[in-house]
Amino acid sequence: MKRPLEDSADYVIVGTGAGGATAARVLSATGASVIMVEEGPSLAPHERSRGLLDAMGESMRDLATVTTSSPAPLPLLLGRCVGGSTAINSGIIWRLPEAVRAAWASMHGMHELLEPAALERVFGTLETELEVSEVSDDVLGGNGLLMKVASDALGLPGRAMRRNAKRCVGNARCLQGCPEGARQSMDSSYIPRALHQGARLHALCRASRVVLDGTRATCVQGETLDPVTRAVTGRFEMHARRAVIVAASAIYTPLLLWRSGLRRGVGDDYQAHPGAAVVGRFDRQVGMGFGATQAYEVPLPERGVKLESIALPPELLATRLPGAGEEWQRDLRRLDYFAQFCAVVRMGAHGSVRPGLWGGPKVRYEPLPDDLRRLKESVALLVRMMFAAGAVEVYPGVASVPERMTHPEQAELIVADHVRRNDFHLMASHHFATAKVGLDPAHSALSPELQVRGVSGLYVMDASALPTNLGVNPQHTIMAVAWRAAERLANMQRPSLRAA
Amino acid sequence: MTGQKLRGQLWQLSVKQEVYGVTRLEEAWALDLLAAFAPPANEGPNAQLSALPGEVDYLKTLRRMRALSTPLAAFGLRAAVWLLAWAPLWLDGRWLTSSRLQLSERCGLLRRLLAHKSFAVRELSLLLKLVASMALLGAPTVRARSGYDNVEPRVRAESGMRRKLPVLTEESNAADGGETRQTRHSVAP
Repeated sequence: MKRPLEDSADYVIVGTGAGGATAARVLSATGASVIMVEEGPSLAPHERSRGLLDAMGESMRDLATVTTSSPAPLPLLLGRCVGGSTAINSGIIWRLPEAVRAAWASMHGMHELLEPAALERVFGTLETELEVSEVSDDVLGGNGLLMKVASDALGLPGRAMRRNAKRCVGNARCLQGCPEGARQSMDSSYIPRALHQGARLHALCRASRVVLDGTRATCVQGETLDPVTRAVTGRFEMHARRAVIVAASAIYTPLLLWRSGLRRGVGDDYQAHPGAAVVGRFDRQVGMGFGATQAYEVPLPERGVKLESIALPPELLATRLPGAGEEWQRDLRRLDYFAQFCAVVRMGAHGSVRPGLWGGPKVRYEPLPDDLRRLKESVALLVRMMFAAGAVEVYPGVASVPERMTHPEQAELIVADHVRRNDFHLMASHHFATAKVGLDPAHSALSPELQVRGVSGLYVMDASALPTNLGVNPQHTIMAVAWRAAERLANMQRPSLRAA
Repeated sequence: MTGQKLRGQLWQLSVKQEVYGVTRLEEAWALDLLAAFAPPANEGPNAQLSALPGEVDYLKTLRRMRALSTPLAAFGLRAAVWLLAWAPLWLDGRWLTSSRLQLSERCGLLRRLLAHKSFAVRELSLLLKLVASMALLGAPTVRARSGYDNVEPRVRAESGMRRKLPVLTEESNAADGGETRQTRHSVAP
């Protein structure tokens, strides 16, 4: 039998997304040795495919076909490449809202981890290192500009987004991978930095279990994968002298823990930010293909909703346009005349994540009636915004109402009682709380230090650890929490060294 | 054999069956359906977008999408082909497949299925529309005709755009070769 690929270090980190890469950046800066294990490939910006299908195949988990197990499956967007989901998202940066921070601190025992002064310092450092800035006017693009027009017309609290892409030139290709390397996703920022500080990266290595020696985590085992077919080519064993850190996403972290025999409180409380989008057709050119992929937003925290401009690649925009044949083909001939806005809802629903029949996750999740009400109101607002921006036709993407709306009053049809959850095309890209921190050992997988309860040397540092969803884009919060936890871990194990 | 190993082998077996198991008949049905989303039309400034002969490889896109998807989604694509192929039977009681319909009739059938009252029918129809869109707009020449990458000086000025950006259709995509490339396995300082 072929010998497994073996390596050892002080820390073994599974996953290279926002949490894993930040932990690697912090720990490697202390002089500790760090191994990063990533299931997906390592792709430099110039190596990323430009075609959508190839790009999605390389960097997105199963072409975004992982879904919930409900009767109306909800697609779950996840990255699978070095950089994780930060390599396919729009790099939107939001600090943890104070109300959420306070609730997590008081109700979930995170007061030390989220101590305000320390958090302020970490957010500030992250924003400096990742070149966070507001989207400038020159890359707002036609799509973002229209949302600004709509927001101003309706008196909504809109603003240009803050992103980790100061040098963005507006290629509208965040999903495929920024060809300029402007977005400071983890593959362009903290992973190269960690490598420079001595960390090692093993890509195309899928972790299958964490090995325990008694009650101590000592090793991560898994399979090496073929870069093209993703077939298993061998095995690996990564030995951790101090700790194993799992940061494989809020969907795959609980699977890894579950398969390692760690099931208490794991995968029980899945939460998300599902969203829906509305397309508008204009009588003059919009130019969706130019500008930042996401540039403008309208946060409505009192409603638990955030509205965003979002440009789609032409293949996905085409799918979103109604009909087939002649009417569809006429729309396809003028793809530069469309704009798209989306609504992301902080839903109150709780679900679960378990190992599925064929090795993937089985995710149970269904929006609550109140979630549906807020979703309907948000989509209706998006329709009104499209008309306020000057759209001549709006495609709400809701099955039981007209597929082409021509008057803003038609938005009211969406909030009608007969409109059901199955009438919407939802998608979720923010996932939370599947191995959450808490005070109650019976209902939380992690201690307030993000350590898996009952196992020494095993930590979770990704969105799984967050106790609830938060209503804004979570990347910045995940990074800050991982930074603080890694810093405390390093200080705890090497008191003489200050992290980072 | 442990349960985990068995599950792994079953998963790979199911993947292989899904990837390679589509019959020629199913592919013929799929091609007829995919091409019917955007049938040949008179190209012109005010006309519809359609593919020229040989310009778009629908089946290659379908195979690739099935190979990259979860086993369940790959099965869903196959189910979509069957559902839509036999739609004349279960929708209208006509004992024939959609391949036997005139192109315009097949196109009308797709419109009805995309707006069907059943969520499952709508979603499976949309899944095939996604394949058709991926194939159609994935062809650089078709993409160029869609106008997606156009930006008029007026829009450029209004949105404050200061430089011309490279667009996909102008870039050489030859290096990609349509296949996933070899990538680094392990990286050390």
